[in-house]
Amino acid sequence: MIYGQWALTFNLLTVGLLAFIVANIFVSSVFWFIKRKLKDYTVSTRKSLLWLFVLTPWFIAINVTIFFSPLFQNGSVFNWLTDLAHWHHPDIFYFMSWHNFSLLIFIAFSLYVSMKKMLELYKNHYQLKLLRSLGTKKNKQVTIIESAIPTAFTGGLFKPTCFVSTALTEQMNTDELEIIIQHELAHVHYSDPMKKWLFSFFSAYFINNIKRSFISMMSLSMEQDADSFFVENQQQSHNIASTLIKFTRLAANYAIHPQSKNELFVHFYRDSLEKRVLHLLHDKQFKPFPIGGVLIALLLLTIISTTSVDSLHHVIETLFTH
Amino acid sequence: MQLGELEKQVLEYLWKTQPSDAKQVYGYFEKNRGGSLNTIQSTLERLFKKSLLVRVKNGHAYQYSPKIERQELIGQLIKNVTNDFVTEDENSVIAAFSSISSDLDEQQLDKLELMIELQRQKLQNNNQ
Repeated sequence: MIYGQWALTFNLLTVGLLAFIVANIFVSSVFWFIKRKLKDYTVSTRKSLLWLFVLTPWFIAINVTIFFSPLFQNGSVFNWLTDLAHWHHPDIFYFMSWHNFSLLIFIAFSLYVSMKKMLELYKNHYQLKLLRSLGTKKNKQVTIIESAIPTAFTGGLFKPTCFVSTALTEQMNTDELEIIIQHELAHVHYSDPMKKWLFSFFSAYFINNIKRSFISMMSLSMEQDADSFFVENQQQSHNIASTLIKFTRLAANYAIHPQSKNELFVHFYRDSLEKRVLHLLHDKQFKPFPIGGVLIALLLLTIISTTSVDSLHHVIETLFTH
Repeated sequence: MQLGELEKQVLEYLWKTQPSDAKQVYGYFEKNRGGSLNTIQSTLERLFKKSLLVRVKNGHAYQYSPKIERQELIGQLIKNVTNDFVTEDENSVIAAFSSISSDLDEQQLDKLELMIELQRQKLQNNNQ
């Protein structure tokens, strides 16, 4: 058992963790109910909403922790709310308590996720450098790799590079190749490998089904965004769609790893081909960013998380002692 | 892992020739590039430590040869860099890719192609 400032710090971390869990459940439920409707929004809105989903538990946890800190709990302005949301014995912390065990589990999980992601990054960086060394630079951002595998991808977190294989340069015509390279350059422009990696890190805190849906939707949105990055007219959309089909036929013959996924790489042909082709062909009117809905949901979530921390605390303590 | 210019050249040389010792490699680069035997020896040593070369002792000298062929190495790297992070539970993209290789068969690809063609014709008619 400890007292004083350190006890307060550990208690605040426990508060943050409880708020994180509440927000995570809330976000997961909301996402599960509205996920089919997300396709009605523009690609950029969809991407923003997905980022909002994965980051919200962290924002809420930080806000609730600040609210429970002496900074707010001692102020008279929030008296009405501190009656609802407060933490008993904030300056006493028991090491042999559910508070401490939950914190330890969370820290261990975070360390596991961080190390796993860093290891992926290191291996990826190492192999990319070798691939760059063996390839021929076409220009600053595009490297041609001599290989019979038809492939094009963008990799590298800080200095992304587009890799295009010679099999592709030989089997696609100049226009098609230009489309593929432009698509990959769009990923470089958006820093997609870095964003994909970060997104997969934050998604790791959700249950598997939700995590898969998040990653799948973000991946598809990034591809669709890159598909339409250089599109200026409908004819270009048709050409990109045709190139996608041709590339898919070529790639299907060389399915080197049919069950693959990778957050650090962005493939031209991967992700739901049909959705991408339809997105390019259809001139659908998309909904704007649902700012009202988002603000209401965030407000509701902040209130629920803040007020439920104390109740949750009591519920847990009916089952466990400190 | 990055390859220096000389490392790359030595590796390319060994891909094209039979297993060679440091003197043979030096013999080739002395004519084409210059440099010393020591430089070649340390380059071979570095490539060996990077697991790109294998070596067998032949008398007093080591005979170096590439661990795998050029195409094979590049193929492996492509496979690894696009597959390193596969985890069984994260198959969000698997579904999409599988749909290309299995569910999305030739007929479906033809159907999508036809759809693109119809859109093209529609656009042409509208422009006329």
